[in-house]
Amino acid sequence: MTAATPLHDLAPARQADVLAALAAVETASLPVPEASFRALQDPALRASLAQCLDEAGRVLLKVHGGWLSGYDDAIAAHLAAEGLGSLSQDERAVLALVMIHCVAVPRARGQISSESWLEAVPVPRSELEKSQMTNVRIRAALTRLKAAGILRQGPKGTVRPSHQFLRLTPYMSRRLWENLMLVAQPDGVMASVIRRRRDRETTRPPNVHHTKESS
Amino acid sequence: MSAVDAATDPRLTLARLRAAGVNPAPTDPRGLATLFAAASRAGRRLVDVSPPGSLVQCVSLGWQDGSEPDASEDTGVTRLEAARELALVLAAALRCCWPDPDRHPFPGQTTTFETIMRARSALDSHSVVIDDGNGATGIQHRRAALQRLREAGYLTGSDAELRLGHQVGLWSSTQVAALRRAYDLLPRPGAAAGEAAGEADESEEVNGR
Repeated sequence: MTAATPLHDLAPARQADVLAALAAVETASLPVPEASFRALQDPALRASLAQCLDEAGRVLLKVHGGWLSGYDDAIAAHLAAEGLGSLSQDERAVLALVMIHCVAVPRARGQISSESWLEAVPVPRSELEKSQMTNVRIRAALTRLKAAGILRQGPKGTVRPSHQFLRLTPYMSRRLWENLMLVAQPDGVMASVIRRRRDRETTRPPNVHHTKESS
Repeated sequence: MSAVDAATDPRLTLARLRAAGVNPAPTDPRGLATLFAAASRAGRRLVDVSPPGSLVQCVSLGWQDGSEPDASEDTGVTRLEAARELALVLAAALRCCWPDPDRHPFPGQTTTFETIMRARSALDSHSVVIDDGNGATGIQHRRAALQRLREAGYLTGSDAELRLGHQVGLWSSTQVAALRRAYDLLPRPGAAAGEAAGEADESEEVNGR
């Protein structure tokens, strides 16, 4: 990895390059093309950008050939423990339902082979309404999840995962997939393996990385 | 492996600020200076967004002047566009709470839900009644938009006493200057339905956090 020059040690024009790329990766809904910003193309400036993000508990993520940002794994664990930025119980329940229908089941059936969370089969809202939750609570949770960019409208009254999944680090992405397996097949062999590994992991926090390749 | 010290790590403090939107500032001057320096190293700006009369100093994380997210179309960056109703309700609320365009709109003045809805009606010629797929139309749609603006930090308070939220406090002088140029297009409180002229979608430019 290229040694990072701190933002304030860069020439003013290069600082502007880094700050422009910072605003882009922090606010874009889709991966930012490398060619769009000098600080994404130039490895030295990209290292400075990654350092800026790290100063705020964030990481630079390479996603589908472009760049985005996400929370550092160790920082995210702290925020989750404090309940900051966490989803409500209803939102988590609806999201779990959507992910099982859109991703877990189609992957198990071989309908989709990509590991991208956006490669999903849209689920009709009527399917979600077969759950034990009331339709009013499902609708309210869907509205909030869509507003947060976690889910989006699919064709003909369906919903599907949205762009926020692109901001998951490889570690968080793996945790999410494991959680889906634990929910979908709690007594399966994979569930046992996951639980045993997590028991071991509880003694140590996740590594803190600075730049990560997620796909 | 790098551990995070939950009590002192400024990275965690800034991440908390991002996740929460707004937090009380450290009460000791040294802690506050440390946080300002950390935000600057991160290429960000710590902004005082304390509401009027607040006994506690509240801060949020903004962009440095001149490095705000660029809303123009040729940057190669794809961002979600704000829903039209959201932009129209924000335009109405902004004008109701921003009586003096020579000043920054934050903190501005308080208003009520009814006043915002009347101002919003003045923009009726700009709106299309849209079924959002959840059965909400008309006034429900506008109320839902206002609630979303509250949740996102653009508005705060009860229906009887609404004011602009911390997200507006983060708007830089460049962004406010852009809005100031469109000030006369914003719907005045008490304007009759359809009275506002021109487009009011300038508020969509100010969407980065």
